[in-house]
Amino acid sequence: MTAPVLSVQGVSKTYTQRAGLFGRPSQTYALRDVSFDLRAGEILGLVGESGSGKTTVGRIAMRLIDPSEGKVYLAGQDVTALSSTALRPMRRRIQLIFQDPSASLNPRQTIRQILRTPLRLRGITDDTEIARMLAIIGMGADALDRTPAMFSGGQRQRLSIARALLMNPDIIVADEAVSALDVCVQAQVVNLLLDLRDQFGLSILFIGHDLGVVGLISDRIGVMFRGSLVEIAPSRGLFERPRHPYTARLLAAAPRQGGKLTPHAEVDAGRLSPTSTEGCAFAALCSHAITECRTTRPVMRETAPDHWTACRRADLDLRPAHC
Amino acid sequence: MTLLAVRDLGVDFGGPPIVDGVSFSMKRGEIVALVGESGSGKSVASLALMGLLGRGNVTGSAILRLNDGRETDLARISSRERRGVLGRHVSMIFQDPLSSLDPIQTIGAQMREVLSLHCGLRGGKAQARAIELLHEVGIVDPQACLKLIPQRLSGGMRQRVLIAMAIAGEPELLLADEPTTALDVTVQAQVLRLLLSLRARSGMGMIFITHNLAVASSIADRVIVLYAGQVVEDAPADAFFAAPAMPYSKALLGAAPGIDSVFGARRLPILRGQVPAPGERGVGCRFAPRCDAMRPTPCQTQMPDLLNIADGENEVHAVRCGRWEELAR
Ligand SMILES: Nc1ncnc2c1ncn2[C@@H]1O[C@H](COP(=O)(O)OP(=O)(O)OP(=O)(O)O)[C@@H](O)[C@H]1O
Ligand SMILES: Nc1ncnc2c1ncn2[C@@H]1O[C@H](COP(=O)(O)OP(=O)(O)OP(=O)(O)O)[C@@H](O)[C@H]1O
Ligand code: SF4
Ligand SMILES: [Mg+2]
Ligand SMILES: [Mg+2]
Repeated sequence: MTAPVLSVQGVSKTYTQRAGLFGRPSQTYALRDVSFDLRAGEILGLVGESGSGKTTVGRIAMRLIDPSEGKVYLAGQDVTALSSTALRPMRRRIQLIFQDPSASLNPRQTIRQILRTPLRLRGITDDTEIARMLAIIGMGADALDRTPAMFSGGQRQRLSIARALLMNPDIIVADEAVSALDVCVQAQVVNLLLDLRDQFGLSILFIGHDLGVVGLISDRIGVMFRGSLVEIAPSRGLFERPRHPYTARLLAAAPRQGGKLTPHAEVDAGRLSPTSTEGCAFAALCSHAITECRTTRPVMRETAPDHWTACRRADLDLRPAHC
Repeated sequence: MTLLAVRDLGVDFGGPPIVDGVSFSMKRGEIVALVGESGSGKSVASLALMGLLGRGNVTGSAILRLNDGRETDLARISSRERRGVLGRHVSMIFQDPLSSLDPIQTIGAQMREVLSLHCGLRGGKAQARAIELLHEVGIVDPQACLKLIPQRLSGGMRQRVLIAMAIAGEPELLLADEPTTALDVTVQAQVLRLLLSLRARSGMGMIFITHNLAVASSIADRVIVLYAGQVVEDAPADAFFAAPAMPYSKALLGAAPGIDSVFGARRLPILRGQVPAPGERGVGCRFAPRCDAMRPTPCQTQMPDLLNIADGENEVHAVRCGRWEELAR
């Protein structure tokens, strides 16, 4: 098998926080010992708790921020220690579509200028590719002379997708790239990413919250909770037979067309308890937790072929009740 | 009791109308989901309702009836009046969390300001209330969160801070523009339930803009679909999800992959063509170029009216489609 296009090995990221101006600094983990491979031509989904470190993983993969510990390999080469000049040619091969499009489009440039930049970097001077890309993202040539502020949220997101694709990258990190799009445009972009993968072997790290979309587009899915990767498995196996209690909870909470929620006032108390640093990050919320769960950190084990789970009790049957 | 009556709301930026003759009304405590294609004017319409549209011409009216009996036309409110209404009686969660928070002030400072302005809380009381609100929206460590500047929060944490600030004053009307897109489904369910219990407790009405139809289904009493600046369907949520009447609504419901049906399909169904630009709309139905049910007459010759097709009196299920009756058979 060829080397993975992107390999994240034992990566942690800590931030120092102070209680007040003179308080004692304390370390918080945004990521904790995360390892996974993005295989060539694979679409790897990343889902999980808000604030669990998904965006941080994407930014570390791009070397936009440095890991506190661990290593990142691009096509087998360790890029953790590369200087920014040595990184530059690498950067072009991996493109990020940001979660927040308005933060990534220069408000003073027209769309034409914004979309020409990636082509210029590739030495292309004519605009035929721009026209083709606009058609793919469902926009007309009248967009070209306007500035980002004149577009809706979803239109801006489509423009930033177009810009990333015009770089002709090998790897795309798509950070909630389709969540601002209406379902019809979302379908077009999802199909486009699948086509690019099938035709050109593009590899994609696809971060998202809509489990239907992530399930459909991804070959495998990783699940994150409070800085840890708790499960990673082929999509179908993960949905049909989740083996980590957090994954099962996530799948059960997914909203469905025709479903209704009831009001409630109470906050799940376990959700607010501080994350245990010794034991499993999910222990305080987990109805299956045993004493060891709170004292020793579970390690990733292969619980089924290519299905890895960081749970002491991965033998539990967590299949959703309706299956 | 009517909370908001929007009549013939229009917005343009000097060219053809972006929001075109939008009318609907909502009752006190009602939750209306506003869905529809990207660029159809959902955000522009809601900014117009809030009087926050910088440039752009607003026509029509949007009468808000407050609990205390006061009536205000949100479409032409004076800026002095607006200060008395916004935040307190009407508040908004913006689509873009990063640009609606002050980048250099801590979350704590921004929340204390809102609490002082809209709830008259200061000092320790404001701090305690801020922590309580962040708890309610599921922030794991509120104390730590209050000390951070927005850039240091994850996308979903920022969204929840905005939600906490918007509900702090227990508004009578909340306009929420894509408020839960960055939340994982468990936190999303918690936040939606919080909004539902706020409605049950204080009778808050809500306009909830979303692309996620499963989310709309989870909380909305009514669904309004916008296409190319117009309302094309306005229906009770149950009726909408059981049997949408307008072909565009049907396409919307079919385009989202459900979590129970993702395997097997290798591609998503595509709606051909694209939304006509505001200057390129024909005289007929604006959806006609993309509609599988299109017939040259009436579809291309006449703009269909927004017709109420509900059976019962006092019920509203409005549809803009010249062939809805044939298609319903
Ligand atoms: N500069 C920083 N200083 C302190 N904490 C930070 C900083 N940047 C990120 N964090 C913290 O790291 C954690 C992970 O954030 P990240 O943005 O990666 O989450 P996420 O999984 O992408 O969440 P979401 O789904 O809400 O976008 C959060 O708790 C966040 O507050
Ligand atoms: N300042 C402006 N000048 C000119 N056109 C504008 C301006 N602001 C918005 N528009 C146009 O108005 C239309 C409606 O935009 P709006 O932001 O309301 O869409 P939306 O329905 O909220 O879409 P989304 O779901 O993508 O957020 C878009 O076509 C946009 O290009
Ligand atoms: S009026 Fe005609 S084109 Fe328009 S939605 Fe109805 S059937 Fe389709
Ligand atoms: Mg994120
Ligand atoms: Mg919008």
